Amino acid sequence: MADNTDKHTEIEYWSRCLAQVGCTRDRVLYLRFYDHFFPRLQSWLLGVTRDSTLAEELAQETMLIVWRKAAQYDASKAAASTWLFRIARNLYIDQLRRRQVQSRGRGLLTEEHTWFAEHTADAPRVRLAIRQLPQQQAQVIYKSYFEGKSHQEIANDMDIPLGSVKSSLRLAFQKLCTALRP
Amino acid sequence: MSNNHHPDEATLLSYAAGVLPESFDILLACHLRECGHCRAGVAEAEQLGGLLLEAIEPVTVHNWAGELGLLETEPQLLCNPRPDQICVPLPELSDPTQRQQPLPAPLQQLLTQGDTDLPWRWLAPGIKQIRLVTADAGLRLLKIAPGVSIPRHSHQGSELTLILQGAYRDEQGHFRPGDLSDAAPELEHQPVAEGPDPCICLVATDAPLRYRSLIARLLQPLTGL
Repeated sequence: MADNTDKHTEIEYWSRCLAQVGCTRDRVLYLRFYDHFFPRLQSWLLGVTRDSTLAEELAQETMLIVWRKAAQYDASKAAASTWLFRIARNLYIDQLRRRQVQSRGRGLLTEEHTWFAEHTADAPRVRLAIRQLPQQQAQVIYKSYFEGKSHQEIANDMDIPLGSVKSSLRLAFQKLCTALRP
Repeated sequence: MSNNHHPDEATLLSYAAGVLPESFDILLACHLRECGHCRAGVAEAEQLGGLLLEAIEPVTVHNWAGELGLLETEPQLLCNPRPDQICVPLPELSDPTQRQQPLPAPLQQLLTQGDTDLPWRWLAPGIKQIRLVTADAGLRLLKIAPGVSIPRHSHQGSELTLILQGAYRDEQGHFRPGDLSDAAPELEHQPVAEGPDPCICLVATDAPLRYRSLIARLLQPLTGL
């Protein structure tokens, strides 16, 4: 229980920390944030890229953007972890497609909407919900977020029909969202 | 605009996780521009992504904060948080959390100027198409004349359809501009263009369709759909 409380405040701690880096450009605080998230980013990016050099580069690029753009972070809209996840994912997708896009000279569709303010997540509740997922649902979530696999790739990996992948993901997502909302 | 038909939550989750094939990504980005309901779903999936990131087992342990003693005695290091990295030029994004989706030229033209002088090619009687260039080669625009139907088919993979102009109906109901059909693999349907105008839609697939009629199957190598 004590551990859970710590985890809960930790999410908020890092959000406050990032907001403060944005306001004060405090390098000491930034390095503390860096030490916490860089190894996690690298671990996640290694899973989705399956390339350790690339994972390290993208993690560094993400942390550099964090330093440069911290002033844009608004703790009342999203947790620091959500903000970081969006930046790292965008860099990863951009890296996947950059070369092709340049050679084709296409236009860009930019998201021009603001995100809804998210609820403050009860992190221990979400972690409990993840642990309580049936095995197949936990596996499709893991393969989506940590292995970077599409529905069809998951179906092939697990040797189950595409429809089962989609329904397992849908059910898991609904359960986790229930845990996410207050 | 309020839509009646939305993508499966499994599709929203994969969009947020960044794992959809490019064709599906582009189509979903077009839907999300119009649909606050689905943007809220994507935002929740991104929040989950952040929590999973926070909970992941770290790969290596750095201790830059612990090396601050070094930073304080080396003034030139104190200039930057990661001195060995700060020189890398980066594309300046106004907001790094927003995705930028590269759009194939004909789709961009359609969205900004409408259906003027687009290079439509004949596909079947009453049906024209433009194949769009993406990494997975699964994206096309279809223009279906009023009253014309796509031959009855089921799916071997995923199929997303976004209505851009006009309307169609199938076994799932009526679809109007902004509506998105996320066909379940077991769905067998026969979309028919409704109303006085042609129906223009964006279609993403990752496997050939499975037609019921022999003639449609025979023509499949020619149409590529």
